[in-house]
Amino acid sequence: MEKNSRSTKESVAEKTINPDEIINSDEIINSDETTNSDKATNSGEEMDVEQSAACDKETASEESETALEEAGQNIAMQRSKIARLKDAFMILRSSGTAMTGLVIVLFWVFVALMAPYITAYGPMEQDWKAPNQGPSMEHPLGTDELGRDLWSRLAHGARIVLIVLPVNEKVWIPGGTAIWGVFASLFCGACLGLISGYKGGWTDEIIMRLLDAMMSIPVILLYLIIVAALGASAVNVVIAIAIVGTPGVARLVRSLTLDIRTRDYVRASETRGETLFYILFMEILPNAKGPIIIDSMLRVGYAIFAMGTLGFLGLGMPPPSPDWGSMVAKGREFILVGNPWASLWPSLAIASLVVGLNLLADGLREESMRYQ
Amino acid sequence: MMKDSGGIPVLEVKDLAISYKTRKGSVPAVRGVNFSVGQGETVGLVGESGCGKSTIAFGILDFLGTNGYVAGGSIKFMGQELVGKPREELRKIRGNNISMVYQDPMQALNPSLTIGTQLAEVLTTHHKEIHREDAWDRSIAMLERVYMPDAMNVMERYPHMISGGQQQRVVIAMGMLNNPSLLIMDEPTTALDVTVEAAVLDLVDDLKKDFNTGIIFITHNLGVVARVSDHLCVMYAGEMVERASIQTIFDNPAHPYTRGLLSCIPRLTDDLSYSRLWSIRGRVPHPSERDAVRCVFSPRCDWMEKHKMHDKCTKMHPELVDVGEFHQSRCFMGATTLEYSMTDYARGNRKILEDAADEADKSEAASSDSASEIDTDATGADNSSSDSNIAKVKSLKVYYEQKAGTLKGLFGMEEKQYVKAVDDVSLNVPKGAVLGVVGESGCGKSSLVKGLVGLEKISGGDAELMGFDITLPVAKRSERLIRELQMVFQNPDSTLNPSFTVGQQIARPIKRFKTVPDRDIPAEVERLLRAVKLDTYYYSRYPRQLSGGEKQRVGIARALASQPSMVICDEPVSALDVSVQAAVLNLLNEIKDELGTTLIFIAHDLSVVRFISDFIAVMYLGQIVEFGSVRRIYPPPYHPYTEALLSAVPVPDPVASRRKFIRLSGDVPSAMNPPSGCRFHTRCPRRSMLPDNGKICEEQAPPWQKGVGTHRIMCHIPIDELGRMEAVLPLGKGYDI
Repeated sequence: MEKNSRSTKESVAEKTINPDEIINSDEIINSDETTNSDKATNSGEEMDVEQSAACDKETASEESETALEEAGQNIAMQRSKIARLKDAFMILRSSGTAMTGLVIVLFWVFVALMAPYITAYGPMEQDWKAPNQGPSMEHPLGTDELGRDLWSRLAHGARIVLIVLPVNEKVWIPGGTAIWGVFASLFCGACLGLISGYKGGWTDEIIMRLLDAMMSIPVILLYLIIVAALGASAVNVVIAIAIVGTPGVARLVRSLTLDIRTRDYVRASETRGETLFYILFMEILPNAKGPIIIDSMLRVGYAIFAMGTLGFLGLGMPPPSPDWGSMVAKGREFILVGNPWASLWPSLAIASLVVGLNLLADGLREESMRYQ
Repeated sequence: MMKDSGGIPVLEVKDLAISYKTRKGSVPAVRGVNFSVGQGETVGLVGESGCGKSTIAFGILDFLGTNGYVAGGSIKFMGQELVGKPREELRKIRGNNISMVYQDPMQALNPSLTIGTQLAEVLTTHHKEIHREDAWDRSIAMLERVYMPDAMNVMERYPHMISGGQQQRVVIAMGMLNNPSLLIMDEPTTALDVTVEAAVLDLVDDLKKDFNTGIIFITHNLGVVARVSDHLCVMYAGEMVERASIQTIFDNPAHPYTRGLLSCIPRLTDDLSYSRLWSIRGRVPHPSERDAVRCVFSPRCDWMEKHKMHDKCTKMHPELVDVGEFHQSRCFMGATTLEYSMTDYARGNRKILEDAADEADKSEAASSDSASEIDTDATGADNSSSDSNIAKVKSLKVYYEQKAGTLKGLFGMEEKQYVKAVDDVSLNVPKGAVLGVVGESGCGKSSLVKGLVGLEKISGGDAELMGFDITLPVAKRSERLIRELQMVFQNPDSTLNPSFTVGQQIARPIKRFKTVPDRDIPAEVERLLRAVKLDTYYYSRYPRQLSGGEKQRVGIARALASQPSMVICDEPVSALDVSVQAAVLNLLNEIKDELGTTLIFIAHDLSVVRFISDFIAVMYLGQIVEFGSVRRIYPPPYHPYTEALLSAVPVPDPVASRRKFIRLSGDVPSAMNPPSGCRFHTRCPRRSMLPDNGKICEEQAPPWQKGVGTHRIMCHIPIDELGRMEAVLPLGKGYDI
């Protein structure tokens, strides 16, 4: 039996398979079984394998799967990585909300990545002859009070948010300010949430009460305190975002941990005498990643908002750098003078990126709940 | 109401097909279903999970969700066509004439409304003319009708304040309040204990007679369906494969699938020496893989090969054919299958059991002082000199501290309360034997094993395994001990970490305990996979790609990976379908024979433990009330609790299942304040055998009475008297009667 099935497997595996057919079995919504999402069933092969299986008199051996299933699933395994990616994209595509969000977010990522190549002027380049102008051929979105190109400042501002973190004037590291802030809060929050949720008891009480105390301070005030204390710089904004975000992440991770720690696989690793570190980061965390990913998308949105706020209050990036928030603050003075553009564009940029991230996260959450 | 329908059946389903829309187009979930339900008739729908039983029920009620729809056929209710009716009209018909009882009563009841409000609402919503007081009274009457004790007060309570069995009674009462013409019961007893299940089935049986209601009874348990149904429809992969009266199906089923299903069930009436259950290989195909141009069952069918039907079965789709009077089967073999008797499915013999039990008995007899010790506190073969026992447990206690609810308690001024989940349990497990532990839920079975394995804190007593002290929590145990004692878990869906492949999960204990050198790990994992009858390509699969039975096998392989001497199985098969359950039981039996691993096997079902165990301990409310070798537990003398458990086991035989029943009243009492004296006295049906209606039971803890060999019963009734009682079931060969 075994020998035969192996040979059939090989023969099937040799055939080239159209990748489209690999994922042709969708999960049926509301059906009893939700497993085996990617199983290859190529009808031509099916017959082939089926017959060879039938020739084998010993197929009746009890527990073994049929040769058909073996072969089919084996192919599926080889392609399962691609199939899973495709599946994930299918989920995205089936939701209009998520797709809209994705397009907006991708637009800003593209702008941020390509900023130096899609702008005609540098972000700090001043055109004394044309301050406070509306959109024109030379300056597609207009200029600010110093004659700087708004489009260029906007694009470079996106860069700071999403792509680079300027540590000081010379040094910068990849990964935007908002992204770093969220990562830092994820790290702290996840650690605290995992320990608190898994350990329970006094540990949980102490950690959660401290975080509650932090949460009771209004967010904006907390930002102000932190940045005012540390000084205005990109790194300090990251720290502020991290500190403010930590309690929320910790709460989320804790509630996920409370659920996951009752699962039998966690009990199984306990009966194996695994270390706390292993249980937290290998058994629990990987299974909480779905909601955490969706939550962190929302958090990037909040972080962008926070950056805007801080910039508006003059606590963001140091002045000449193209910061969306400070752009709004500067431009605000000229709205009544008849030039709303300088504050309108950065406001729109913040709003669209935040809305885009929210749409993406909401769409993903909705779809992933529907299909699981 | 519409009760008098003349000759029209209450429900007539013709060629019903139901599909679900998915991202990849529509997928048929159910097709070719024909059946009708007459007045006062019960039709059972059986099949493994994923066969479309519930889908039919939802189709009838039009609860298919946003993506499900009836793709063809007709559903006639009282002669009225339901398919294509506007929602509003359907709602009216449903509300007045069709009721449904769901699997989980806790989810069917609104936790924030009192039971009375919910019951009365059923009447007032659909009949504007009924007053609230009137509705209230009728609800009380209905609760009494479903044998709800203290119905008046139950009306004022919230769902969480009554037990699961009582909740299900409330749901049934709710369903019957409108005096519906059709009652659909979707696995109404699956979430309940055997004893409660038996009582609910009695109730359904009664209601059926009194109300003249047509019932559709959906279940995967053939034993349950045998009790209550008149007709049976067997579903497989969304198709109806056989339909007949209950007697016909159980006496002489025609379809190979039905035959397979019936042979899978471990039966109490079998000979004790049977050690292999029949199991249907493979699994139910996913709806999207079902092929319309072949027999859906052909990949799992043995008859196809045996009778050289291959060409026909894989190239054509069979239709339902008459094989007898009101007996249809969807098989090309047609009536020819009926010529083969059901005994064709031979079951193998088990070997180790007799030796182990006898050996233990002998060593027991050899030690002279055991009898006196037994009277004090110990259960089991209490001969500490003998090394044949791998594990010894002596007056083990697992208590949970009850969180203080009052202000006084908060400051520690009140006496602490404990839930005595396991109270004074002693037992010995001989090496290489299988100890079965049975009891209702809440009897402390899981707490006992969790204590042994180190997941719960042990509050008192001694326990040792191979000379190691196992009263310590797992964090304080030596690596060597952890290695020797592993566990298999109950729920197949949560036993494996969804984020890692099967191979990684089995490799983890090997790596951790260094049972083999690192470079041999893949080979070792493959060996383990083969040992649990899985092919080696499962190595790189994720748990979500496996079926329940396969996941459970991986769980077993993972437990075996550290090469333990003892494996504790916490209800490993209770969440599985019968066919899969049979395969897993066979596997465990083989592992025990081949590796000599000692097993502690927990189950709530006496028919399952009978099949695998050498010794059985019956637990009630934290204590062991009867212990003995499997040969002596099933025939009398019984502990009254064992007797009740045995009589509650659903038997897949319409005649035997209508046997005399012993029913336990009420539920397992709270383990916080266990009843005085004998803990079972509040529910004991045999108390009347003692003078003064068992006054002694309330006052004194019962003594251990010694039976033959290791057999022990904790009861006040003299063992000779217990021995004179009638056997609950006609037993097969091999028992010590």
